Amino acid sequence: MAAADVATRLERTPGLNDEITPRTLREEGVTEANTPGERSLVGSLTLDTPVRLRSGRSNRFKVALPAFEKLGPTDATADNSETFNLANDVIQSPNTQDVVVYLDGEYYGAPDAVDYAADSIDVTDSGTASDVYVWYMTADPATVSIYKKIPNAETSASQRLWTNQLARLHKQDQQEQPEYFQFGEGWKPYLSSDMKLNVYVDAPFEVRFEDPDGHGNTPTNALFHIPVEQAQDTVPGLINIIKASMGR
Amino acid sequence: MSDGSIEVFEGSTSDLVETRTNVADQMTPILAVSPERGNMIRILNMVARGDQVGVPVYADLRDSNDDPLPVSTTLQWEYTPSNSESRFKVSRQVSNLAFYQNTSFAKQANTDYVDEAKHVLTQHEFEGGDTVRFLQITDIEELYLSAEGSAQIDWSNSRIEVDPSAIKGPYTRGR
Repeated sequence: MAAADVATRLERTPGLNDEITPRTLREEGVTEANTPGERSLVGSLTLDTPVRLRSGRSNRFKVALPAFEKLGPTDATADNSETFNLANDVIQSPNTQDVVVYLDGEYYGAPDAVDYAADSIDVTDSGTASDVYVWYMTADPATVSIYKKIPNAETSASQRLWTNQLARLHKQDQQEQPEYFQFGEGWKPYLSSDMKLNVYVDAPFEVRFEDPDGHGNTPTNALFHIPVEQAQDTVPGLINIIKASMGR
Repeated sequence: MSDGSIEVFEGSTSDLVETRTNVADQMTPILAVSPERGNMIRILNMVARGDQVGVPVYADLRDSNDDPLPVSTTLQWEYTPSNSESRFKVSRQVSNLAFYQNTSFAKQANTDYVDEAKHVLTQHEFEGGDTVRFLQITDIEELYLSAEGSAQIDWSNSRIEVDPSAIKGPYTRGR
């Protein structure tokens, strides 16, 4: 099938502006924790219908991936203020809530106090011996990237769509200087149905989109909102055209 | 507060508006808008501020601890036709509150930021989901702003304002 036919067919397929969010990855895809210090897959989404990554300045791509730590448990006295030390440098983020805390499965929100110099937080537990789950913004150097991948291809075809440094993005005022995709002509921003969108992180801290103990705690301060146009139907022939384009 | 406006300021509301509290982790109303008997209003999807399509909505949304609602909270506008119980989504989803969390209420209308404050009104998804020029609400219909997130809103700590230039009316419904 000629590329032009596929392009016409794609153009005639209605699409909606949407975003792939951490929640999309969690609920419709697969998320896992990274191995600190190694480049690892943290999120993967297999697409039902074709997707185009929206590019340009008006399509902001907000990025903030907090470090996760499980601390505690809190002591045997209820309602007292307790201080917990964080392993990484906690920063004041211009883009999202700096620190989010859960006590066991309970959303606590922002801690009572954050000591940015000493990298510690104060939390008051109304119960006792609760695990403390913390997601906090850090400026430690880390790389994050987005790939598209064709599953089960004879040759594993995969192409990097975007990569950037978290250390800078976390301090950059993304309200004023937004991050956005820039693609030239061609099929690069397109993913067909059955293709995978993969997110890789190489960070010294732990990145995860869900707590490890099944409480359903999630990093409410994480931003990874990929602007996309999602087609309402599949487009025959698209996967082959995209696959052919990926080698170039 | 003056009629024809959609605003809530730490608990006190304009005539068109009733506050609600969302149910945690469910997309439920935090605000209900309905004109007075015999009236209607129009909410324009394009205003003379910024460049992009949408209604500027300025907000500072907080929970009962006076903490901001979680950044991952999502917002959408929903519409209930007369004699119906169901709410239909009539805007693009606002997928995070990062903008409202990091830009003070007073600064949100600045030319540099106002496009980020815009909520884009659309047809319902099964009508195609295209953007509309305006949304018309009569007294027998209801419009909601709904939120989904792990915390609940406390209006005595929160405020919201729809840019007044986006609201036309109230007019007499005339039918």
